[in-house]
Amino acid sequence: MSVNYKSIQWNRQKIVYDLILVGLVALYIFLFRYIAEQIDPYPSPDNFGLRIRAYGSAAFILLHVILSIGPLSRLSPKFYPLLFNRRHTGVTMFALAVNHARLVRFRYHGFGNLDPTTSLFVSNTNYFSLTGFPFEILGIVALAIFLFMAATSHDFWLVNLTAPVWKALHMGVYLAYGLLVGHVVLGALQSNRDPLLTILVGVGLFWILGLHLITGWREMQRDRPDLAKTNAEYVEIGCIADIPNNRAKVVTIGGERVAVFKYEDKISAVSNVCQHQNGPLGEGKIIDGCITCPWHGYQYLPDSGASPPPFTEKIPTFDVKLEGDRILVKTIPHPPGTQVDPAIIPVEVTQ
Amino acid sequence: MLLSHRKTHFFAFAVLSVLLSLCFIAGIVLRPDYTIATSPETTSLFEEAGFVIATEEEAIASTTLKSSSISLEAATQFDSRDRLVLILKPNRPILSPDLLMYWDETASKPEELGDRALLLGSLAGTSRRQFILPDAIAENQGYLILYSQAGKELLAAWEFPSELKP
Repeated sequence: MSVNYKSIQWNRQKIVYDLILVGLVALYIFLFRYIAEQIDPYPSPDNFGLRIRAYGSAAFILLHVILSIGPLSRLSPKFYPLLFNRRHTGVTMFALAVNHARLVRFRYHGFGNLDPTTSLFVSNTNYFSLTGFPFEILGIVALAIFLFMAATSHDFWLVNLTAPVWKALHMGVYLAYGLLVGHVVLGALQSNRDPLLTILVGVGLFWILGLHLITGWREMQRDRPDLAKTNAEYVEIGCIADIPNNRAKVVTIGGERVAVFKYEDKISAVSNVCQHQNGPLGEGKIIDGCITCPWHGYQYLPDSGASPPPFTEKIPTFDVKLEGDRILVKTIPHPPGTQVDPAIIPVEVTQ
Repeated sequence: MLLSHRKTHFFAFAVLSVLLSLCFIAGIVLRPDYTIATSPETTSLFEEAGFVIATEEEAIASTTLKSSSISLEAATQFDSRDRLVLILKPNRPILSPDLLMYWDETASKPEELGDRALLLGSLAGTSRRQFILPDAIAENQGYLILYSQAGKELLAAWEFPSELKP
């Protein structure tokens, strides 16, 4: 969180994250080229082909990692640290893909009598052939989507577009992933029949598809019991004992998730959606008296849904009341940042 | 808002699962049976195209052919069928399209590609390429010509070095 605008708010975690990321990518590129040079019986002196494959495969593998982080963090909070700086991973992946495309443009299209970029688009027009399809076009469209995502990845765009619009636009990564699978299957796998490569691409594909389908299904099932379907003013969300101290229970009311927190013998309910990147506040905890988002650490006061001064983020709040040890939450939220008196847990219940 | 995003995400992946699985399976099942350029099965194809497998130890001699920005390592040797072959390897990329090597049996340095010039083969990047030479090269004077087919331009001509002759 920051009050004054800073282009990048560097902190220790970001620096460590980026160093590990860049180190792993550099190690992969080095090992790929070193091992390939050792086992290639006919090495090419300029190594262009090796460099093209090294950068292309690095970008493709990194995209698999990026697409795995989201669903894995839905399955286990242990993966939250990877989520923290996922956008830097995305921009790194884009840089690798650009270098792959730059090398391909020079190596395969730089020596003809056509402009290399023109040649890239017109050298293969077999659009009605599956295995002869101009797979380069699929890669170019995916690269254009990644360019858009990398250019709008900064918090500047997140704030100005608002998180829901930003997230909707960035769902384009799924289309780009589909295009890249086509790019690899109709490109590299057509000329390279090594079964290991085919197996690796297949395992990666079914890993991503399976992971997203399983977590997507689980999330939809979690949203299914909507407590506000009865038109009641208040809905019961469970018992006080259901919620650990300084933690929340997440329920669906009126088509959105609500996080009901227990802290300091009080109960408060706020929207489950962090204003920053729509992270799941209910999976965070109360730290220093504030609800703390598990994704990037944005904080909100539980009784007002407002970030502590001087920060300005706000989320909707809900009226809460207790009947015995049962918690009831009003179905209609207050506007973001509205102060609501928390429900006080009676002494006899706390004992 | 987020609930609709979750539904979009799930149904997008349901569609992707069907489409990408079909693409992957069809792409693998229907792929043509190419012979990989670096596999042993292609040796005969290269030989038919005029390339020969030769080793450095058998080289008759080697030298460097230079002309302005162009520099080629050149060597000759006999292949397994006792044919004289010329091995050329550009020391750096030659930034002209569609490069062809010719042998022109002429006494004076050619300024353009003559009708009698004999095509030896093509260069590719900085790869080492090998060309079968005509028998006449041993006795007659002539020039090696580097020609850009797409540019219709003679880039360089070198008198065939006498030390490369058997």
